[in-house]
Amino acid sequence: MTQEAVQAVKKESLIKLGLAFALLLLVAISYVTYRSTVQFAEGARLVDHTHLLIEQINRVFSDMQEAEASQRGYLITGDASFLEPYDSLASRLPDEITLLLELANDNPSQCQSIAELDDLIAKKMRILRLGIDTLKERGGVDKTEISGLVGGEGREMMAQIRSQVDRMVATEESLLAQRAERVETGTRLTKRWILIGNLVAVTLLLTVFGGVLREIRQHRKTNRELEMSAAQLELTNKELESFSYSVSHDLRSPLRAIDGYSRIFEEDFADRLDEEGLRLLAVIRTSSKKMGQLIDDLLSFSRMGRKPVDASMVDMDELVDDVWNEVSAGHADVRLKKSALPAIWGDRALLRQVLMNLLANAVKYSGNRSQPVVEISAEKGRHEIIYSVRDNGVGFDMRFYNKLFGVFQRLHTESEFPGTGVGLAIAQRVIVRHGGRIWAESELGEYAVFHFSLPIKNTKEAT
Amino acid sequence: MNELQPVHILIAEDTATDAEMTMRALKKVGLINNISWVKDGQEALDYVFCAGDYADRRRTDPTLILLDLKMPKVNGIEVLKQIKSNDATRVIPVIMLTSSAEEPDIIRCYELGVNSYIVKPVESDKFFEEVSKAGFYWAILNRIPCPR
Repeated sequence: MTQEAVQAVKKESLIKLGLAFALLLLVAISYVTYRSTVQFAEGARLVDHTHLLIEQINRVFSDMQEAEASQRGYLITGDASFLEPYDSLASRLPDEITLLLELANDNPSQCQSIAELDDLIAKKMRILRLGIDTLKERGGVDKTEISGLVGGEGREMMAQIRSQVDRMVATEESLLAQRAERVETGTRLTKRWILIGNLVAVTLLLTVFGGVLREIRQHRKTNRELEMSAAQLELTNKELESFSYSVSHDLRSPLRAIDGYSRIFEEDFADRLDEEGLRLLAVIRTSSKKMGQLIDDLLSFSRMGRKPVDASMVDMDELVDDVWNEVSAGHADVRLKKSALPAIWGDRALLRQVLMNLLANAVKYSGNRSQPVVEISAEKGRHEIIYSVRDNGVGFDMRFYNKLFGVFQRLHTESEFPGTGVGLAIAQRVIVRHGGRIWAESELGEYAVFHFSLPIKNTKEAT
Repeated sequence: MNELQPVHILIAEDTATDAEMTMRALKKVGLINNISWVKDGQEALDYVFCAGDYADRRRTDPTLILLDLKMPKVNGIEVLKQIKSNDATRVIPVIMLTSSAEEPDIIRCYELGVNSYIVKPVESDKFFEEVSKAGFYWAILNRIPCPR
C-alpha cells in the first residue's frame, strides 16, 4: 500500500514535470518565433533602406549628368534657357546630398564615401560654373575654348564621380547580399528550432497524456475493485447478521423449554426432591435465564446493525433527562451533573440506546461509592461534537482497553457487577454507524470517562 | 364471562415444548376443558375450515386461536390472512404467540387484523404469566358475537 502510494506520488510528479517541460518548450518556441519575426522585419527594413540609398546615389549621379549636359548646351548655343536645369539642380544638390547622408548615417564608411563624393561634386560644380561664367563675361567663346571647358579637368572630375558612385553602389549591393543571407540563415534556423521544439513538445505531451490516460484507467480499475469488495463485504456482513439473528432466534425455543420444564418439574415434584435436588434445579434455571439474557443482548446487538438509521435533529439535553429518569430509578444517591448539550443530527432511538448503556454503566459502576456522581458534558468542535460521560466509580484497567468494546467482553465478574458485556459493543456499533468515534479512559478505582463524537453535518447515512 | 359458549381454544404451534407449556399456562387459569393443538399452518386451516383430516369435525368456531408465526407448510401470517379474510371466521380472536420481535412481522400481522401480538418470553416465569393472562382475557373476559 505504502509502496503503491510512493509510486503514485512518483507518477504524479513525473506527469507534472513532463507538463511543465512541455509548457517551457512551447514558451521558448514562442520566444524564438517572436524574435525571428522581429529580425525578419528588421532585415526587410534594412534591405528597403539599402535600395533607397542606391536609388538616391543614382539620382545624384544622374543630376550631375543633367547639370553637365545643361552647361554644355549653354556653352554651345549661348542660349541662357539651357541653364534652367543647371540652376535648379545647383540649388537642389545640397538637399540631395543631405538626404544621402541621412540614409547612410548608420554606416560610417559609406558616410566617408559620401563626403568624398560631395567634394568631387563640389569641384565639378565649380568647373561647370567657371565655364558658364566665362561665357557670360565674354558674350561668346570659340570652339577650342569650349572643348577646353568641357573636357580636361571637368571630364576627369565626372569620371571620378562616376567611379565613386559605382564603388558606393557596389558596397551597398554587397551589404544587401550579406543582409539577405543573414535573414535567410536566421529564418532557416528558426524554422528548424520551431520544428524540433514542436516535435519534442508534442511527443512530451503525448507521453504525458498517455500516462494520464493509464492513470485514469488504473484508477477506474481500482475503483471497480473497491466497489466489488465493498459489495462483497456488505454481503458477508448481511449473511453474518442473518446468521447471528437466526442462531439466537432458534436458540430461544429450546432454552424456553429448559427453563419452562425445570419450572414445571419444580412445581410438580418439589415435594419429592431434597435440598440438593432443588439446588441443582435452581442452577439449571439460573443458567438458562442467563443464557436467555445473552441471546436477547446478541439479538439487540444484531438488530442495531440491521436497523436503518433514521436521522433527524436530536435534542440531547431532553434525551439525557429522559434516559436519566429511567436509569437513576432506584439509585436515589447518584447525582447527575449535566452541562448544556448541543443538539445533533442522528437516529433518536439509536442514540437513546447509546446514552442508556453509558449512563446505566456509569450508575452501575459508581453504585458502591459513598457519593456517586455521574457527569455528562459536550464539546463542540469544527466538524463534530464530543459528548462525554464520566463517573467516579471503580473504573477499569486500561491494560484491557482493547477488550472494552468487544461483544460479550467484560472486565468485571458477574458477581461484582451483573451484565453480559454487550452494552458498549452496541454503543460502539451505533456511533460508528453514525460516522462517529467512541473511546474511553479510566484510572482503576478513581474514575471512568467515555467519549463519543458525532459529526455535525451528517445528513447522509451509511446503513 | 360468556355463559352460552363453552371455551374452545386452538393452539397452532410446531414446537411441542412450547405447545405443552402454553397448555399448562392456560390450565393455570382454568382453561382446561377444550384445547386443540395443531402442529402446522395447514392443519390449523383444515381445523378452522373443517377440511382435510378435520372434514368430519362438527363445525364450532374456536373461542380463541393462538398462532405461531414460523410453522412448517403454511406460516402463521398466511393462516391469519385466511382466517381474517373470511367473513365466517373474521370475528375469532387471534393472538400471535411467537419468538419474532421483528417490527415488519408485527406490522404485517396488524395489517391483517390480528387481535394481539405476544413475543414469547424466554424466561418461564414470564412465559407462564403472560400466556395465562392473555388466555384469561381473550377467552374469558373478551366477548365476541354469537355464532350463527
